[in-house]
Amino acid sequence: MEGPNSATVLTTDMQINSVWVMVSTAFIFFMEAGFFLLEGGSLRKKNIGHVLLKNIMSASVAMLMWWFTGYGFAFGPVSNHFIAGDGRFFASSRFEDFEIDHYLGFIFQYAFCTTTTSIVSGSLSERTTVPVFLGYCAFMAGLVYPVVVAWVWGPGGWLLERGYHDLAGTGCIHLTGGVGGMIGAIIVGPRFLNSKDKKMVNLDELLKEKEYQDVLNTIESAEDRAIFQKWFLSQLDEEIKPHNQAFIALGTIILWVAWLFFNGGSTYSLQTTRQNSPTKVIMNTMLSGAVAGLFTVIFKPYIMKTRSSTSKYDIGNLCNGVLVGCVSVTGACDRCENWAAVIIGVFAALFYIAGCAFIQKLGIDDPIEACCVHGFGGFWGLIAVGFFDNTKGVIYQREGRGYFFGMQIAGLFAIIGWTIAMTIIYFGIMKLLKIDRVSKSHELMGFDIAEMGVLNKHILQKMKNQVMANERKIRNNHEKMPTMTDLLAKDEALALREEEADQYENFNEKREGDRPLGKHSPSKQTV
Amino acid sequence: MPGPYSNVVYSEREAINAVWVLVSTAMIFFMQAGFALLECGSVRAKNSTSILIKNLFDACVGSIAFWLVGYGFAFGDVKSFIGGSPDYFASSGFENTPEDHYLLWIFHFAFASTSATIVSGSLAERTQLNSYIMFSFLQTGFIYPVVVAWTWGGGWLQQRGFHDFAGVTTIHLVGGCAGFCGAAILGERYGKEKDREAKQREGEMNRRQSVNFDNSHHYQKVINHVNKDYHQAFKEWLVNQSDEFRPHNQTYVVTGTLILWVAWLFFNGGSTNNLFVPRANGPAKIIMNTVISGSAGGVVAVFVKARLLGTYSFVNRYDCGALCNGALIGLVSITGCCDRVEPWAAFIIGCIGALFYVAGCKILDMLHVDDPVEAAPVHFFGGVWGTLATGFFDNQNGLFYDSPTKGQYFGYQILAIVCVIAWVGTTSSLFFYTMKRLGLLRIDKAIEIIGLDIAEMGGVGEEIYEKMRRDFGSSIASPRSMTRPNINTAENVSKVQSDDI
Repeated sequence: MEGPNSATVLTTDMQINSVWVMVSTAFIFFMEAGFFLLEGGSLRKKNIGHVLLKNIMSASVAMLMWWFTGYGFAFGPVSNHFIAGDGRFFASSRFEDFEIDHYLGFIFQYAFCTTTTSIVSGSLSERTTVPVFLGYCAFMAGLVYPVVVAWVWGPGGWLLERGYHDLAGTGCIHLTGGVGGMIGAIIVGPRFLNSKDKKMVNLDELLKEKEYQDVLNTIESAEDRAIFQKWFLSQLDEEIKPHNQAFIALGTIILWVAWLFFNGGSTYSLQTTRQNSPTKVIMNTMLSGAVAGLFTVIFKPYIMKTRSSTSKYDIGNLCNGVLVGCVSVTGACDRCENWAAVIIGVFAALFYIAGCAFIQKLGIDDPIEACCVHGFGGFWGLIAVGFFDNTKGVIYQREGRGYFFGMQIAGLFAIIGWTIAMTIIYFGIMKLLKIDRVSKSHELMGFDIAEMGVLNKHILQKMKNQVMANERKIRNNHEKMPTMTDLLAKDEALALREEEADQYENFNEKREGDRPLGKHSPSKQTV
Repeated sequence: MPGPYSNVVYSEREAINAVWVLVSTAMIFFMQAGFALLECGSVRAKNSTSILIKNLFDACVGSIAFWLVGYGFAFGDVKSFIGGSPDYFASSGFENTPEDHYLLWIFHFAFASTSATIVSGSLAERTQLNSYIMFSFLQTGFIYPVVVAWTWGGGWLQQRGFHDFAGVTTIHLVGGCAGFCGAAILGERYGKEKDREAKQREGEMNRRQSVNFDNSHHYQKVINHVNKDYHQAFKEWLVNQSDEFRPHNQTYVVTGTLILWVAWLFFNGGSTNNLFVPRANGPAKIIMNTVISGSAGGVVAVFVKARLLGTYSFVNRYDCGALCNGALIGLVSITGCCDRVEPWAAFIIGCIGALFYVAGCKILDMLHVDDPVEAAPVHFFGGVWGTLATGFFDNQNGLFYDSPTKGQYFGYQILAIVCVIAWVGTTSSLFFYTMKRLGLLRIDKAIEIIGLDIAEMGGVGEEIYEKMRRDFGSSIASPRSMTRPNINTAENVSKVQSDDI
């Protein structure tokens, strides 16, 4: 809408800063891709299309709500220290009345806002119905998140006025998203395969469920229907594990690169003093992420007692470690020294591991550990600001440090309390209406088959192969498995000459020596 | 740490340049994703996770090493060989200098991590992760910074007029050379070695792997985690696995290459560190040269490689890997001189670069050096050619132009190649050789056949069981009765051994 400042042109300094903020906006928005890949790779293959849809839809819904109400609640002049409400900000109706370029502020803050909803999406995935999830995104972007932003960044917010410091949103973005996701995951409940219901499931009831019948009715031939039913039942034994490690690694690197701008861009300006400049911010972000990643991948298997000789390193741990390091330094990175960033990274890894142990203990099912990374990382990030801030932090001998630390803690609990309350209200209502999660058969089939129509001949053929493989045992039970020697006799190509066998059978002796293998002497089987 | 320059604010010009450098830094750091995808797609599926974790590891380790020591060695008041001013170690005195070393640190860290990550490709599929991590620390913390000190930090090469604009010698030659030495010392991947020996002896027949699994305690460790009913099948499955060496996912290879290509525009363009430069040397011209050279390299490589190596056939006319690597060597070759050459020269450099790539593949094949993702042909041979090309085509001092000092200039380009190869070759060979003697360098042959993903990154999962059921259905328990194996109990281990075979 036209206003008094419609024709204002930026000064050179402002132009430079706008370029910086706009490039940062683009990179932060690119985090959507990172979150999608991370989430898509960490979940089962049968839900990948659903994850894609969910992430793009949540960005779109967040955009609408942020435009309608969110930005107004967050950044209008705050009259009561709690929530802003200036009509000129709703639906960008009077952005051109102001001297400050609110279009720029809007896009930059929107990129932050949609990050929050993406965090939640990870915790709730694989079981929450799409409309309920999108409703929560709208609620988050339209009310929950803007109120927190009004406190910590909005002009005149009660935390901002009291000196609370959070540069790029470790509290208002990551803590809010992480806590929202965790409470949502608690209320919605664990995935069917991870829950106790799995043991006492009634197969007849399962096969009579409407979702399952609907899908079954779309299959034409009776033979295919039988195969589908067998495949469906075999899904009860499915193992839940990440299906694509390359997506996870790629997503993490995208997030890490984007994080440099997430933090660096939050200075809004390149006319800052060197000790608070974007360059130092970015350096801190890199260091903290790297340290936390290393620490997590090495120590988490020991602490969680999952280490074994065949799973020494887990790429998921490394990736989540990098992310939790970035989360934790987000609040303090413009006012802490490089060595402090390293320490923050180490503790971030510990908080992440503690978070994993915590949700494991309570039986909270968070498919991609988003609440450990963002919730616990954000928790530590806010405390870390209180410790390591080089103007008022507790470890420096400055006046007012106790008050500063107190305000960080107050902010921490205010954000947690507000998010928990709002999330409980929303998901409580959904739970009472019994629309919060999909049915068991829906979950077993996977969202892609159940509601995105991916079932076709090609997939049925794959199912058939799988079913046949599982059933072969029943048909061939009388037949003994061919041994190595049988195979050798059968296949001439396999029969190596004696000298060659000699050459390779002892390849290991140099390093290992003759290691006795129980009472069996090595049987020199060579193929 | 607070210092006299803590409260300095950028001038307008500095701020504009800072935006350019910061954006370039992010794009260069994003090359990690490109390398990860390229390498992941180029190796066999059974090792794909291990190569991804290596790439992430070297970014993490590299950042610590470069922060603690690397930057100090590279830029800490270099006299001629190596820097040592304490202000530059662990960023302790970044606020004591007029230049913004925070900015330079992040920019050069992105470069350092690129150099380190090149090595991971050459060592793929057969290196122990621990020794790779140690090498990563050594390279980012010491080997690479010393070369940077010579070429960019004010060391002896820079003082004598050596020109390497965005790091063809400093980054690619270093990374490629270290990878080459590592691959040579490691030896070929198991199946390849076997294959070659069998071929020598009796022609194309006999491509089977022969390993006595029962003698290997590494194999025992893995099989202890496999469901007992599947032990025999697991062994069969291993023996019957395809031992063909080909990229497992072309989509990743192409995506990775395109990410690298885009990032390369900033790799070269951002190296001006400055937007206030004459048009003849400006970032726009640099980026144009980069695109031209990369395209020329790709096109020439894809048509020439198969014919020169004699692998051309009707069903194998276009090779996606050759196209990608050809584009990459074009980009590598132009990196050293892109600010001082004309676009026609960029075209020639790219074309000849592709020939160097093909020659590199041939030479590696002759030497029996096995480089799974062809990182050494691209970065090592590309690095050599790129440094030479600077001597030829540089429009100020190059051999093709009239300049009184062109002979000396060309001489220093050659001297730089020799010295860098000598330095990197010696240090990295020393490290790899020591590790090899200690038995820490290479993984066990049984694990090489099993694949690192199963052996170290999580064991045998349901997918593998399903594959086994499909291939060897009989005598295997049905999935419904299947329980997860008990891990590491002494009882279980002894039981496994008595039931085995």
